[in-house]
Amino acid sequence: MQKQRYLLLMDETGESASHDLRNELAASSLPVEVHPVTLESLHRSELTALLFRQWIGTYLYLLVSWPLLEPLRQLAEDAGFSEQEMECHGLGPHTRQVFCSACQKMNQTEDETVISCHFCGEELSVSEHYSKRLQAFLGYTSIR
Amino acid sequence: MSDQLSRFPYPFNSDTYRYSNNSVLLDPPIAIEVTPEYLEEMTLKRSLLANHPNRCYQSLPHTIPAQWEIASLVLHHLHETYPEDFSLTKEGNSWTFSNHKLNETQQFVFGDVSTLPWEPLDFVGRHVQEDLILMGQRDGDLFLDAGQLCFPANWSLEFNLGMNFVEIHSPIPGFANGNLDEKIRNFIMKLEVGQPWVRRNWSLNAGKRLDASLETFHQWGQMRKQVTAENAGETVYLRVEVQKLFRLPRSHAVLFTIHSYLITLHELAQNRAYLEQLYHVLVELPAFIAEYKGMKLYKQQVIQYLEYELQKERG
Repeated sequence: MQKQRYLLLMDETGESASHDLRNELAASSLPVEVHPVTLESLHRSELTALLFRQWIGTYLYLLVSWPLLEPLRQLAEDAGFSEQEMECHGLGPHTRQVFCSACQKMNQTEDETVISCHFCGEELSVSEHYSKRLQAFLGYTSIR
Repeated sequence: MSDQLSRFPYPFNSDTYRYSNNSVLLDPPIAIEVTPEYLEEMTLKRSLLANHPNRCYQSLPHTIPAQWEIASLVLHHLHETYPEDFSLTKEGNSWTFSNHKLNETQQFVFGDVSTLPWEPLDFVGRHVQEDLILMGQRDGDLFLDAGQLCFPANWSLEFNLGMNFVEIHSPIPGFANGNLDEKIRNFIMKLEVGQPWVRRNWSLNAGKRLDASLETFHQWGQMRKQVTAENAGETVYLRVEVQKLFRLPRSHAVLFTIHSYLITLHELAQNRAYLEQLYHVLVELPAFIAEYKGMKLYKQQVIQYLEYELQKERG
């Protein structure tokens, strides 16, 4: 896709983090639109309408805190943005999901590399093996 | 040579082993092999499916048409290859399949899921020793869209469902070197109707365990600590997967079948050439492959056992 304009969606944390990016985009000759988002605005029709009325050629940047990133990315995908038409940046503290290979339940973690499964108690080493469908990293059991 | 050893799909053709695309054209082009272990393995498969349905069967909703193609292929292959054990009669879309080995008959309307007790892939998988995987092909990629998997070699169907080919194989150390992962994916994407391929993959298993599922690794993996040079002949098995690839003509999806075979090292060692070659392969095997194939803890014990057997034969 030939980029023809940029659309930036950001929350408060994205304001300061996007400083360099905004300078960079401003220096390009393409139009740039910036819109603030919050957890509340996520469910308002204005945001949905904004995404749905974009033309082919709009390149989307999401710069938001981690809890907001996935629902926003999902909304953009529903509006027809493909992986190649957007860039997602999660900001601030990050919780990630770890799928327990022993009991198949989902653990919420931060950046630990070894956890005890909250459900079955098995020790899990958190791998880089990631499922987009489950939005989770695989936690492997061990035989120690 | 024993019957089991003469039937065993021995995997090596050289004294060294590396990851490669070792596929060859499948001749005859039959997806299914029924072995003397059929009844034993079907009993195990059915009990795993009953007790662990999510572990053993997964499918995405758009796969039903491709599943019917697989059902048709498998039932025809069973009937045509083993007519005394399996029969298939058709009157229009009304099909009757009989499995004489299990004394079961199923009537159904081909294309109508409501006439089968399970989804079509889940149904035919209950009549064959093979695990059956359905890979969808779209957007220049292959996706794990459905599967019945009772005898995995330490991976999780539930976790991997929906992933593309490269994502599925990302945990294999060194597999992406030289873009081997993409090359193999591209090879499979060019698969043609009526030209199925076959390859053999191998690993070692501590203990006799076809259902080496990732979900129960913390249990069966413990056996790895029990292996000694003295007991390796009986406790360690060479595990070989015969993997076949078929293009499905209507959905353009790919059927990937996996038939898993186990044989003790003691049994395998009855063939002097096999014994010698396995010894050389293991001695030379790089650590990253040994680790991924799960034999790091007991590779030395196995090598010692094989050395001992070789010396015995030299007298």
